[in-house]
Amino acid sequence: MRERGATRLDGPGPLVDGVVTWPTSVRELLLDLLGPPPGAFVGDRAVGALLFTLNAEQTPQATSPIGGRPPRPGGDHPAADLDLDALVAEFAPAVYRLARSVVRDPALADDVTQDTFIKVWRSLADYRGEGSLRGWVLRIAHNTAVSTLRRVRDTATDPQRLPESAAPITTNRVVEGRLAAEELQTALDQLDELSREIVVLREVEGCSYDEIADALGVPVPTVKTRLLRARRRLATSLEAWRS
Amino acid sequence: MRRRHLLHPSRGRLTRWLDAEPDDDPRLTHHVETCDRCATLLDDLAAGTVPMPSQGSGHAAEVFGSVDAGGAPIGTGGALAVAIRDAWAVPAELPDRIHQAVGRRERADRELELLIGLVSIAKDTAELLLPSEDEREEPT
Repeated sequence: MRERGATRLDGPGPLVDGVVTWPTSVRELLLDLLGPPPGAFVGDRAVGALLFTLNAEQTPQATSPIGGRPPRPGGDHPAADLDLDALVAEFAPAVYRLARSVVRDPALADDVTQDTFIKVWRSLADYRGEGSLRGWVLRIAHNTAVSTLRRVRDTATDPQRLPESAAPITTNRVVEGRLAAEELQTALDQLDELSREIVVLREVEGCSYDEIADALGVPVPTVKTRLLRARRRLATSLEAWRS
Repeated sequence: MRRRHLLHPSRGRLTRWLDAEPDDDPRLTHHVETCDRCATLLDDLAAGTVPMPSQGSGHAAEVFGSVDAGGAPIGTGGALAVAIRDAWAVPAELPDRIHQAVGRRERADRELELLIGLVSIAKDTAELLLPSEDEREEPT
């Protein structure tokens, strides 16, 4: 048996995704300090929390008696049968491309996608089945991307850290074989943020006008007209890309 | 003062608006982007289900011919969709990174519960050891 008090806790670890990480030895430390059955003098809530945490790996669907972990959907909830693998397989490409259309930077889009799935996974119980699950996920992705872009614009001082801005094609950028793709990329960059999102959701993801309007929080006529204008602006570059 | 309302623009004006910069006529832009009738008319012009405007029909045909350049109205298999998928390819490792990020957050949540539990231990112990208000009151 381990000697009591032998484990040392080095304090919280680095920030990961905005939260403090604790070393895995915390679990061992608590077992070490409190020993077997904590005894009647320890409050019920504390015992409940402790037992819940120590047994968390055996009961991943359990609900916390205090808070911290959000409840998992269960029973007849519309998302009760969904696991993280299914969600990622179904929606990750759409979320990534939507994020990319807003932040325009591959690494940032990657971060936005991860943050979106953390939020989706934590708040899955809040999905009430009103509207499609895809629309709900895409709305979270849109909000996350917009707030990330705002934060980056507010905090970034180094121009290299800003998402790539729309740049006109110069003779230096004209590399044979890549011109058409670059031209299309530039044409996409020159669209406003909302139009880019609409183009991606409609053309690539095949969302309905209503779904797009719901996800982006804009009226349906805005979706229709922005899409038409965007198609008109992309037409020339698209022809070059096709040929 | 009476407020002037913008009437629904003609097909010719809608065609010119589609080809102009959004800031050229912000009042018209606002109208079209919030008017279901005008937006649907534009959609129908692009789909060819309503006739082109009589004036400048050549230009209108060119404008509405190009907006369908991405393929079918829902162009998931169209050229524009393929081009965007090509330009913004999803990284192969992204699903793994998502799983790791969610896993890290779940671990952090568990540790938070643990810390809350530790605070409760101190609070509950104090409540047990310290006399309550009633116990402290001296009988007069």
